[in-house]
Amino acid sequence: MVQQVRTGESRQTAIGVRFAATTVAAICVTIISWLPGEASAQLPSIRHGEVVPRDVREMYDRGLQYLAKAQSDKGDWKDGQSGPGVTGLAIMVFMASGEDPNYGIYSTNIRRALRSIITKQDAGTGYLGNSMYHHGFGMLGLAEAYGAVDERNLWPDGGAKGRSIGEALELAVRSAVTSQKKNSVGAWRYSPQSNDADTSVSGAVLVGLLAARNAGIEVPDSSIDKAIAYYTSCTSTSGYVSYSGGLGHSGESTARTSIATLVYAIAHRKDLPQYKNALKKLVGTVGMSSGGHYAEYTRYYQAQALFQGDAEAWKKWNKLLIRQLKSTQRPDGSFQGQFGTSLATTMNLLALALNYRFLPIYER
Amino acid sequence: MRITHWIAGCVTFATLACCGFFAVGEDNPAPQDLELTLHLADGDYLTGTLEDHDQPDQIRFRSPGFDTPFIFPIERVSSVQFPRSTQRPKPTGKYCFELAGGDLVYGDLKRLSKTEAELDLERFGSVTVDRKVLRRILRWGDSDSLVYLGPNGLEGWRHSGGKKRWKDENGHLATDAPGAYLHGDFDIPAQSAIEFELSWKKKPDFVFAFGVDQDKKNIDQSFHIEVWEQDVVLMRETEDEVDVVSLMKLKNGPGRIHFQGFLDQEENRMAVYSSAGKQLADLQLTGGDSPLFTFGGVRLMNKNGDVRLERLRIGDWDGETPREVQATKSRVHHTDGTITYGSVTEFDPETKQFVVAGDDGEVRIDQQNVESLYVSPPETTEPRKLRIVFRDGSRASGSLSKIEQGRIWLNSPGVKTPLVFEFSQIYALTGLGQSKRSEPALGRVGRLEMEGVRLHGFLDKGQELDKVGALVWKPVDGVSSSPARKGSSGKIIYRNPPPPKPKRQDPRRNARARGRRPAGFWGGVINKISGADPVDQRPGTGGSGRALHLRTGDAIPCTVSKIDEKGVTLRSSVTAATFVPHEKIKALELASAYSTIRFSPSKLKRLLTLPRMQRDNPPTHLIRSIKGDYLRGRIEYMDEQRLVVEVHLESKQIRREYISRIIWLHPDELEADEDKVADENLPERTRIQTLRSDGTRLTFFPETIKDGLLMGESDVLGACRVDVKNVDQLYFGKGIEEAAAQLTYHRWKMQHAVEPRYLTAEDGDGGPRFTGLESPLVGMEAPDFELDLLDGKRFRLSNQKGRILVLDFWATWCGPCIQAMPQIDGVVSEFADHDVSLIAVNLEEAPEQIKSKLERLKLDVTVALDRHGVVADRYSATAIPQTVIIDRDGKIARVFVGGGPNLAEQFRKSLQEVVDGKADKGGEVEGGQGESRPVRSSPRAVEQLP
Repeated sequence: MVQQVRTGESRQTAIGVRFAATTVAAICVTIISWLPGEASAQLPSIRHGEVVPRDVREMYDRGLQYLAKAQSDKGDWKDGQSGPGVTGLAIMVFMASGEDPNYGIYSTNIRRALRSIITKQDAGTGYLGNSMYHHGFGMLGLAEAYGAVDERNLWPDGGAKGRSIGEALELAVRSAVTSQKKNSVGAWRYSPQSNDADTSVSGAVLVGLLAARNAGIEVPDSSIDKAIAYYTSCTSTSGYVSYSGGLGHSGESTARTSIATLVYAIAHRKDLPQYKNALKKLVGTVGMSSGGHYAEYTRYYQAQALFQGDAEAWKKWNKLLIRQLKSTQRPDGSFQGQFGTSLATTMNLLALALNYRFLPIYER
Repeated sequence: MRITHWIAGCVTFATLACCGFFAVGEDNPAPQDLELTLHLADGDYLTGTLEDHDQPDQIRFRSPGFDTPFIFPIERVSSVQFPRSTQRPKPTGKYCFELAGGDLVYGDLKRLSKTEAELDLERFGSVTVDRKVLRRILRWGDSDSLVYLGPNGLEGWRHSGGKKRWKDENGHLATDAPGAYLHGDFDIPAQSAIEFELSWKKKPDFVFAFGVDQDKKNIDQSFHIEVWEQDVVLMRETEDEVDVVSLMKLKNGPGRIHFQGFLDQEENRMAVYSSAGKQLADLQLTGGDSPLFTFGGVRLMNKNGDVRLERLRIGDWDGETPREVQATKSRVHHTDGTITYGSVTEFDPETKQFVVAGDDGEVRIDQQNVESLYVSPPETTEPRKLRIVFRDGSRASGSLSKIEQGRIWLNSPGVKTPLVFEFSQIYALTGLGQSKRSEPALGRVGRLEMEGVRLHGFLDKGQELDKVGALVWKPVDGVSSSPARKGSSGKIIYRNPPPPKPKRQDPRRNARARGRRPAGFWGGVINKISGADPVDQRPGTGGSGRALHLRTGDAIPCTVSKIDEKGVTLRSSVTAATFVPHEKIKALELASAYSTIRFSPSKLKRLLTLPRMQRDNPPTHLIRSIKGDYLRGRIEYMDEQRLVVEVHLESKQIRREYISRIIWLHPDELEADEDKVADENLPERTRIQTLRSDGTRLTFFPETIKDGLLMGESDVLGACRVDVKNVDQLYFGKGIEEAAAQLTYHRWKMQHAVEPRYLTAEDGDGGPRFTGLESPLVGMEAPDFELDLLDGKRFRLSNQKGRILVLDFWATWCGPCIQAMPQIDGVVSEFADHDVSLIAVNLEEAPEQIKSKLERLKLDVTVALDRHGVVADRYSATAIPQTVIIDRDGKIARVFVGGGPNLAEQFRKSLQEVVDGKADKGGEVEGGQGESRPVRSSPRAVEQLP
């Protein structure tokens, strides 16, 4: 097995190869070289990926078309929740489609979205804006694009050139790390200045940081360790994950259990008992209704957490996901959700995107 | 009022009595838009509007379910009912004119000669009538002495309900229920004139009592009319005496009585006269000068026959009994009670005098001295086709000339000009001359039933066009046909469905079946249900199976070769169609089941209940094995050998030969009962479904109907052709779904599990709100107990008097308890200065286990060890967490069951109230107790609550 590559330079080359590939089979072969060491225990079919079902391709394409159409001239999305978080997730949707990010049909959308995030970033603090949710998802979008999108084409010729993706990402990471250092529990809440934390906002930031680290940006190990420690303190032996620390009384949440499972997995901490407990609880929810609240948000994390944790459970869950999304996608390709159409569409599509497995963050 | 007047006017009043009390001057729609009900001769009816029509003695009636109006000859019309109201205008006018045929009109007399009379009528203006039809002229004026005039349906009556029901038939009250009674507290005067008309169809057996209250003894002792075998008698029986007089002899079969009674409760006397004025009885009890009693009520009781109260008029009476009259002679009744016999030759408008050619020569009588005039003796009258009863009780009969813009032109015999009046003045239009149907039916006669319509007729020639459907109905009572409106729904019954067969059980067969029933072969996923399979009881399916049942109710005998994600592929001898999509299918019978086992309703309910956790992934099929087991899942595929079904998101394979039948569970069935879409757009085409006597159904769009043949196309089966003579019932529009819903397979529908109340409670933050006062324990003496504490000490409740105690029943395995306890502990510590202590009563757990849990939770509470659950039992803690507040007097002040986001707030509020001594003055109950939510089993039968 090849060791995971951590430098931005070599990653750029490899990803360039990945997205140039046109057939799924070819891509899957390439992915192998990116699999981390522990992936060797996985079933071959899961590791290599299978042929993406037609339903998924059709749904995903329709969704992409919607997002492309709904994007503003400035590169962001305005219907419902709006900001760098939504834009970052939309970048992921385009990247995950398998279309070439530099020359494919959505390359302009990707560049416009990236420019939108970078332009709004606070040059001094690196804060991407709106809230730490947005900062986290925006950072994730930047991290996934970093190395895959050719920086030379990012800014239009003749116009003012902004920061590079790498610079913006480094700045954003520094912002998140600084915020965490000032936080007494070592995690994050809505504002960068918050002194308390919750497992929902922290998930967005931590996944962003982990993606940045995977992309080759330097993220202090202490930062990751502290954040993971926060999650372990919030995970009970039953796999219940509390909202804001201790054994609070905020009710069951599949989303939070998914987030915890996911951050342990991406942080390479599958050794933790808390990971095993959370995963066990999560697998137990497969096929169960989550009650309807935050459905898209839950799906987004549940997809990745199950994919990371239990391939068989993910397969079952994914089957149901496809069925549900098929029945709820609107003719224009969008989905309706409590936080607005574009955010619901991006999150649903990203839940489906595990069927493609093109994004580095989905690697196991 | 004088008695003579009363007798003369009896017919008038009686006629009035049959009308309801109606309001005038209401905000009504335009007269031609009034919604009316047309009743036809044989019990058919339809609601709609009367349209303009100029053909005599026909009405043109538009019903909303049809494209064009129907035309009915008046001879086939039983009545047209006009909108009713509860108030009645009094008829006004100086005189009431009684005309031939029972007609009554009110107004002034302008002229009277030997040949005709000119009347100035309130309702119709100036009208000239032939003298021969003018029977009587009665002084009317006002009618202040009127106490009751009715019946107007059941209004104003107390009556026996339920099985002893009275029916309101066009204002009459009828019953054939033994023991049925009507009681009217009309506050009748001690001296009353009571006129009534009763009839019966089979056998009279009734008591009509006057001057009563509700006391049985008083009713028994009242004056009453009663049926004694072949006699109608007037009687009174008190403790001391009894007197009975026969009023008339009865004949077998239907009959009627029409009497006037004069009741004098002061004098213990009642006289009864015939309607023509002949005295039939004058009954007076001798017992004492003082009245036995005076009461204001009347009561009609049916004993064991049938009776109908048609008219009842009660008025004041001055105590003078009527004089005997020569009923057949023309005469004038004077206001002083005297009678002048002789023919009234004219009315002199100049002198305001009536001229009477009496036995002793001409007599002139001043108008103001005349109470009534008997003008022309009754002769045979010309037949009349209809009668109009007006809201004020006047009535007119004759033949219908025309209807135009909400007005009717009526030709009445002997009346020189047509009477014209508006719909809004009419109470009812009644057909009088009912003739047989003139035309034979030109098709198979069935009974059409739609909303507001019941109409015998047959399917006429019809052709589906752009805007007109092919279902054209020709009523047997009508002279025209009309297409049923596209999108309307209903049914045509040619033969009534057979009554349900009594269930027969063969205990031996059941025993055998049970004995043979092997263990389920689908392993743990199979729901083994033993019970009567309702499918087997369905008529018409036969035992052979192998049919595809559509959601419309159609059954297609067929062999199925494949099921895939789109639908079912089949071969059938009855249709060329080879494929049916899932959304049209309800069930598929593949093989006969070889066990018929009984289903209990609770098991069936469980099988068809969708747990809340499966809402996002409901099963789409129920698969029944040949052994009677059921499996819920989602069919992915089936071919000749195997069925692939997804159960809990895993695919399972089953050999096809093991499958008896599959029932489709459609998601829209699940939602159907939640929010019914009330208003559906009219479909572009009308669909029909024919049901044959063997139970087979065929649903299609009829294109042509001709010579009793229905031809059209089914979206599943292609071209269809059905002969009406083979059809028992024909449904159309939504009637198809309504009929199909009654089929056994269609009753197999998933239902959502009931939402726990804590989820449905309307509360901003999603949690339930309790006051702690909901429990029946509140207010009771707190049961005493003594338990070991976790720290080794002992705790006895009765030693704590004067303190406020909080008992929190919990266990370490109960998540909601663990969430609730820190909140309870926190709130109790806020009241530390008020002698409040918390005892966490642990249920049946080991001290080590409890200690380690509390350490992890960093909680420091006093824990009592209820090792055997005895204390929990005493406090009815069958579900935990349960938190009990005991006040300083040792009484239970509050009980909270379950936790939830609002617990701390509610608990704090309640504890404050108990501390303040307001133990029993909690806030209003805003919601119910939280539902129990079994999350996992515990060593004890205790549920944990959120």
